[in-house]
Parts: sequence; C-alpha cells; structure tokens
Amino acid sequence: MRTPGVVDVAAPLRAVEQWCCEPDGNSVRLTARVGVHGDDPNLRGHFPGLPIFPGIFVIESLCQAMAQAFGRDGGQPPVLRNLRSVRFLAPLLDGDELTLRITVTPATGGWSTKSEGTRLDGTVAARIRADFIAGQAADA
Amino acid sequence: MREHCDVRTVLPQRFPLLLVDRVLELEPGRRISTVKAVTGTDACFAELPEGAEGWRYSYPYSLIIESFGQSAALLWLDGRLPTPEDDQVLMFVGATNFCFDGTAHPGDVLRHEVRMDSVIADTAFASGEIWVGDRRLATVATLVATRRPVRPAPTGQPA
Amino acid sequence: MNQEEQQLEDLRAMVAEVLEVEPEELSDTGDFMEDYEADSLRAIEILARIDKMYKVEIPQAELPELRNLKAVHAALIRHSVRD
Repeated sequence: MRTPGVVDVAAPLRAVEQWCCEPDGNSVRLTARVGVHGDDPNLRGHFPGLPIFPGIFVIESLCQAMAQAFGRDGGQPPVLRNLRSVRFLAPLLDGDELTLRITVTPATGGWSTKSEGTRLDGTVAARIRADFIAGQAADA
Repeated sequence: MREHCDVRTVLPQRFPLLLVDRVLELEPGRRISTVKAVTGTDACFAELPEGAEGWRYSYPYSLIIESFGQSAALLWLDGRLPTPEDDQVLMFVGATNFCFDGTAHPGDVLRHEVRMDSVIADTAFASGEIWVGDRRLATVATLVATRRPVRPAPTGQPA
Repeated sequence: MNQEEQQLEDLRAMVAEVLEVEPEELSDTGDFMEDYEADSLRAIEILARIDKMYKVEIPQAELPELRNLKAVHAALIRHSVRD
C-alpha cells in the first residue's frame, strides 16, 4: 500500500491514508483505506458527543483515491460527474477503518467506478457507483 | 425558521459540518430553498499550499452533497425543534443520479432547491437542483434519508 | 402490446433501475431479495417511485408481499382501479 502525499486540493479531510491499485484486464482494482478518528475536527461537529464518519466522507475517499491513482502530476485530478447511486448501509464509528474496494473501468472522457466500502468487522458500510471525467473538462 | 441561528437549533451538526446558512423559502412538506455561501476561510481550503491554482479551490463535491442533504433534512423536520425526548436522528442513506454540471469556488453562493417527493416507512425521498446564481451546478434525481433510533451520547443526552 | 403489457414493461424498466440491473435481467417472478440482492430500502424506493410516476399510493402494509415484478404490477393495478 502507498501513502498519499499532502492533500493539495480543497478537501474536508485526508480521506485516504493508504492506497494501492493493480490492473485487472480492462479495469483497475483500486483499494483505499482510511481510519475513523474521533478527534478529527470534522467529527467534533458530526456529531457532538457521538462521532460518526459522515457518509459523504466515503464519497470523498472515492474521489481522493481516484485522484491518487489517475491524477496527472501537478495537474487536475479526475472530477466526479455523476454519483449514479450510493447506499450507506452501516455506520462507521470512532476507531473503525474504512476499506474501499473500487473497480475502475475506462469510459468516454473518463472512468466508470463501482465501489464497496467495508468496516473492520467485514460489514459492508457503503456501495457506490460513480462516473468521473478527466480533470480539464470539468467546467465545460 | 429562516436564519442561521434558527438552522442551528434544528440540525444537530456543528462546525465545520453544519452546511446550511439560511432558509429562503419553505413550503412545509413540499419544498425548501436554502443557501450556503462558499468562502475562502472555509476549513476545507485551510491546507492549500501557497500559489495553488484556481482549480484547487473547487469546493469539495462531498460537502455540496452534504449541504443539499441537510437542506432536505430541514424540509423533513419542517423546522421542528428537537425535544429532550427525541431519540431519533436523520441519516443520509442513499442517493441516485446526483449529477454535477460544474464547480463552485470561494465567492459563490450555493442555492439548494429541494422537493419532498414522498415519505414512506420513516424514509424520505427528495429531489432537486443546486444553483449558483443562474448557473445550474447539479441535479439530484433522488436523495434518501431515514429516521433511526440513536443510542444516547456518553453524557446521557440524545445526540 | 396492449396498455397493461406496456405498463408492465415501463414498471420493469423502473424497478430494474432501482435494483441496478438491466431490464432484460429482471424477470416477472424473480424474487427481489433472493435473486437481486435487494434490501428493504430498495423495496421502499420502489413504492416511492410508483407514487411519483403513477400518482398511486400503495400502502406500506403491503410491502412484504411485493417480492417480485408481477406482485408489484398487480398492486399497481389494484390501487389504480380503487383511486
């Protein structure tokens, strides 16, 4: 697993602590891990007295993992175009760890992704299908 | 319920994840219009390196989604204040075709237009759009939230 | 294709989208939970979409019986006639 460098785009948190990828035929299997830390400034507000990893941070992990794997050096990372479907199935609490397994397939102008996020105990916490486009085309 | 101080009494989120500034319009049970200003001093921009290009200041899509979701929560709650007996929390459980047309940057004001489509079995289905001025930023086919019982916080008070 | 058959096909397309399968993969009697890995949230979402698309409200109490496309179509017809 590799450790990302500093987060160099606007982000609510560092949502990928380790990642790795390997080709799988036409696709790429991308894996990202991030721990749930109760003392993260975000979790103090979500919620006071009950830290819960926000579902949107699983989406943020997906975006940051895509940036690590497919971002161009010094250039724009892939941009989320359509969150086709996302389901949050189980909460991630303080001390847990999210493992996001992403299958990335090339698509016109970008990539199509299908992800499953699991907790330390193996429970599926989230399923996401999302389409990304290459960075430069974002504001077209 | 209109101003940020009112939003704060209804939603349990706090800094830096309370992402609705003001309610513009509210048709109880039907639709809500809210705003969230994107400012350079938002926490998400704090770590950007010196000389970072403009595109690095794109407001994270995860936070735009959360801001829309909280607007839907306000619509579902209809501005009702939580009571000490409240043992339930609203949870974002899913979305379908949340599609982005562009990006938002410091100085932009996100305007969420949210419609409540139906509420079944303690599960709310909403849809809508997000605008910056007259530029449409995103369309949301479905956003799903449910009410779940929550265990009390360590202090013994509901979250 | 008569009106009822067309309605079934429209329903197939909508339910397939909720279950995230291709319409061709969704059979009339395939069980949503057992054959298509649906959870209770998907079942509720089907009800919500029917409400939105057809303006027909199927009571929550009937949720447990809505196990496949055929049952959903029958419920839609049943409650359309009443309304």
